[in-house]
Amino acid sequence: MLSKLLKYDFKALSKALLPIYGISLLLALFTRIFNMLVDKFPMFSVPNGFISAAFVIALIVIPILTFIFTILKFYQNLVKDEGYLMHTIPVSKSSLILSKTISASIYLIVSVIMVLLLLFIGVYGVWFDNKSIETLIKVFGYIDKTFLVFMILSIIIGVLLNQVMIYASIALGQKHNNKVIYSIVYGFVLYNVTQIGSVILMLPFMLFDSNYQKYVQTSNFSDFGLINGFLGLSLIISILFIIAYYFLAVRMFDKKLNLE
Amino acid sequence: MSLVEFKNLSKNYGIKQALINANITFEKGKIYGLLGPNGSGKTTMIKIINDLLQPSSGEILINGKEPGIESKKIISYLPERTYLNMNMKVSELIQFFKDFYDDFDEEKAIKLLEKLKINKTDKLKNMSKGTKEKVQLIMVMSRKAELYILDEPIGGVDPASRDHILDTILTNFNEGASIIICTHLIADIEKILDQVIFINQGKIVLNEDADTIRNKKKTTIDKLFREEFKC
Repeated sequence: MLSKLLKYDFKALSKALLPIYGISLLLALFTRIFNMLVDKFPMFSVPNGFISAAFVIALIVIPILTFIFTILKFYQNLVKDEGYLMHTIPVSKSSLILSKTISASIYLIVSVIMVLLLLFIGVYGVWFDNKSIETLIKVFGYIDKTFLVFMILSIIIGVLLNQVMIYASIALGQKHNNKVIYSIVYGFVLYNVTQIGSVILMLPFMLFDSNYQKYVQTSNFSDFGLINGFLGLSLIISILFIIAYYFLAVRMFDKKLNLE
Repeated sequence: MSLVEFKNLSKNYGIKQALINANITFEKGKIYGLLGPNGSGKTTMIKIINDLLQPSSGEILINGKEPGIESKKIISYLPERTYLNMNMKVSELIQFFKDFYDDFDEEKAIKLLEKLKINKTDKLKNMSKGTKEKVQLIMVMSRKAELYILDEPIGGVDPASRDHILDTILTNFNEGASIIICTHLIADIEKILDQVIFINQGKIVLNEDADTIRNKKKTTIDKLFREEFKC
């Protein structure tokens, strides 16, 4: 059943997001064309300015819009009228939420890829070129590989944690009559629980690990071993929160569903 | 074993009691009319059967089990609102029902759509409210379910189409299955009912065989309802 749910979740997100991605690609193409034109015909400098501004806005807005749409789709599909259908199909609540989590996460990754693609189409050779990419790769070459992997993982896990945390907030908020307001309130509560919880879980490491103490005293920022340990621990804690919020959302929809 | 059984079930919304100690069973093979004024608790009962609301106390059993995946396989539910994804075409909706309900009869759905002159390629968002309701009813009645729960199935349909809709319900439900119909339009549906349940302010005030009402009380269900709930 999960594969069937995924099919419909991807379809729903695609219908909302692909047109926006398409328009952004066109915008990138126009940016490229106007950038070339303005070199030869200065009269294009004004439209070029407008298009470049719209292009920059698109770069910023695409991941944000993707994030907003994934949350909106979750809310409309499970808490609003569509919930009457989704909660009466014979599938488990865990599949419903897992499907939403997977489709949203993949679309968020796609949105980052889209931004990179837009940059290459629109401003490669203008804002950056082969040389800047080589420099970037060189800089990354100096950085510890494990650290790099942990950093990338931290970004992905961080996005996933936010996603599942918001799902759990909505699942808690739907119990009440004013579902939107309560979802926002629970969102703030869970955000603070995550922050405070993470610090508490890290405390033993910070207080009792002698290496960490030494690190703080000497401020040796090149000690990647210790930083990686710290990042690894924070990753484990984030994963624990993801699991906890996922099961919280499943439980709320399973035992406390309130489609009043 | 009863198909649906409410045991001392109550449901509160904050301090408001929507259902009070409901004890009732729904048997197989009968058509039930769940009737009551606005806010009497009809839709709450229906939502509890469909696992969309949880009881505050008491128990509900469907085929002897709590509502869940198994009960959803045998219940075909038509809510009082449009629950469809408006960006879908009718053909996509058919595929959706086919994907999730093993008992969905695609051929029957297509025949019913053709009968009502509804185009498969039309998008739901471009349809009138009445047509959306017809599409929804067709999807629900094209399942070979054990229990059909229809909340206001003719509420948004013009009087001329009501008989046609009722005919669709009666000629398409699975043989041996039960139907629970919840509506205000009693005169339109009373001829098809086997059992009548009146509910008022969260309490079941009558649960009687429809023929008994007609023969012994020498009245129509509509008249009896008007007397019972006179303001």
